[in-house]
Amino acid sequence: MKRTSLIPSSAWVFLIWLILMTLLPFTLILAMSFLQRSDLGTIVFSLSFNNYEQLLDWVYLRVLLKTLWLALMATVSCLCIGFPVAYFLARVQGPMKSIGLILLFIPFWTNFILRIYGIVSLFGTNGLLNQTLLAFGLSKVSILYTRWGVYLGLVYNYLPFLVVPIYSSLEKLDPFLREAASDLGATRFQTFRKVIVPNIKEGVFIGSLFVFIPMLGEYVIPDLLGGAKEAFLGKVMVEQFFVLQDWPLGSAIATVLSVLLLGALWLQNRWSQKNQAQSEGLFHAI
Amino acid sequence: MGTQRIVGLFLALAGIIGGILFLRTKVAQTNTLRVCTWSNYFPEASLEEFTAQTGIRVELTYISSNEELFAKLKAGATGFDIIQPSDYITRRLIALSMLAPLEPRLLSNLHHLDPYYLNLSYDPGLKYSVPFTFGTTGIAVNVAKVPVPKEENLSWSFLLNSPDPTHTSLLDDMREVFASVLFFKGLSPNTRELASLESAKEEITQIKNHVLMFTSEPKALLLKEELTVSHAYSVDAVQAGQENPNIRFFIPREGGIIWTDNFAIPATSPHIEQAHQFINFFLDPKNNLKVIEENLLATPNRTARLQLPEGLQKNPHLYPPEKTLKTLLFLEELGDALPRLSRMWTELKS
Repeated sequence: MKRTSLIPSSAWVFLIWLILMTLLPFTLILAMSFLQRSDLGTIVFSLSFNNYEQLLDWVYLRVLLKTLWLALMATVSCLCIGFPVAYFLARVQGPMKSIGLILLFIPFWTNFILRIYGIVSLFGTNGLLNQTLLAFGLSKVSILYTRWGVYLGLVYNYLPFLVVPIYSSLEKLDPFLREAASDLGATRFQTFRKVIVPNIKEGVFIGSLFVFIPMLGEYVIPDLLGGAKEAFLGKVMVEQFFVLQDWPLGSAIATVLSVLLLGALWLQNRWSQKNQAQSEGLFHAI
Repeated sequence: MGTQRIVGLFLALAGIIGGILFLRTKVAQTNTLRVCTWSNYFPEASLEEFTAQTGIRVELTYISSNEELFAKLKAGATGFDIIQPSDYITRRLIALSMLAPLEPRLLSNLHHLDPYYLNLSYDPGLKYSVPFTFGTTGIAVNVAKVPVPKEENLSWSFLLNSPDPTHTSLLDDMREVFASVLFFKGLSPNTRELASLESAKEEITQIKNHVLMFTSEPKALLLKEELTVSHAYSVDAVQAGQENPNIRFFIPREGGIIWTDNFAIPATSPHIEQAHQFINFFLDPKNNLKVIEENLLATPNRTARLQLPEGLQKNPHLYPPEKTLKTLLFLEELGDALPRLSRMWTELKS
């Protein structure tokens, strides 16, 4: 009898990568989160839940909630802007499509920090926006170094990451589906709601997670565009590691964040399985 | 079956890593000095001269922060022969016995140092470190935009109750920000008393709502005139002042923070003697000057300083007068008060 390997040989490279770069570091972080920091910044090997108890403090909970809220708002905004863009790119044909796609990717040819500094010179006190406003006799606005600056930076930076998955799921959609729907008498809105949305739901959800998750850990944007005036989770975590040498507490924050995200993924997974089962059931019923 | 494979994989990996580590120690035994330093610190020509004089090659590794250096050493990095920790990390490395004691007989140029720097609180008598450059923390002001009272009278309140708050920044460094408020209140920046820290926190919370931002790199924004009053390190202020003479630096009358960057030899260094040669080479006024002039740094090396051009030598931003020097303090370890301070810092920003 032929012995079937559980893992195809071609997957080994990926598996090794996964173990080395994901599983191993994550295990280390998890283990570290149960250790302690000494007064001199070294790690003390005594197991306890101290770090997690510290995080139950309302200060950290407030930071967590604030970060979640900001990331959620920025993700929703990305969706509001990104969905029409992706829809347009998927429907349009010819040169407009290539131009649109190129424009979408052009920002990535520039370094991330440079793009952020671009925003700084655009929205700064003496920036282009304010000079234009002044020229028209209007008063200056201060967006930079406020929460709005952080929000703007997040939406600007992460928008393409949301457009791409939505675009690709729209592209994969069979164009005959839309035709069939209209042949069967559906209005455009009905087609959109009953045919298009259910088919790209997963793409939209994955895309949203793609932007929501890194937003939670973002600390460069709050520093450069928010003037570091508000504590967001990413910054608090980075400070534990690099300023206070409290790797155990930093690891505990990282662990909490990862568990939250894994939880979200698990829920999504269950939800999509249930949906699949339902639609299969429906199919059988027919 | 599967587990056996995975175990085999791990063993193979361990073998590879072990091999690399083994080879690295082999390399370290040759006549090369591994120096862990800040980027753009040592001019190429100086290092070549050192090699020509001593026959010792120098290999540089760059770090961008003290924390990175500490993390590297803590994680067990070995093979470095020279490191350049700032005062507070030096203090910590000494406490953790991670530095090799210096041998004065190998440092014949030590007498060039200004006596002030021979007895610093973090390493009295320079048993483990030699200061190479120093700086202070104070207030950078664009005097063309914001009128300044006479220099002697400038107080930390000029920063904390800035006349131009929407163009004012504080350092994004909790120790420094707390220190500025504590100095203003006439307290020690190194206090561990919770009541003092708590009241400073209240004050900072108020100030935070008026000022433009926290940043540890105010130089570019000072030059763009987005900032007119800025809590700054002397190095940044001096460099900004070089481009725009209206930007001036003040150490407030209540006192300020002083910091040093040092030479030290990790206890694990395989080249203790050559490392001393390196330190001594850069203590030589001639070689010291080259580094100092290139980077616009302040040197504790008195002989070298006296050879600087008049303008730099007497620049009070770089070299505070004796009277001011007496009011300057090093940041010290806060021990178990540090986590509390960190929580306050997060709280006031939350």
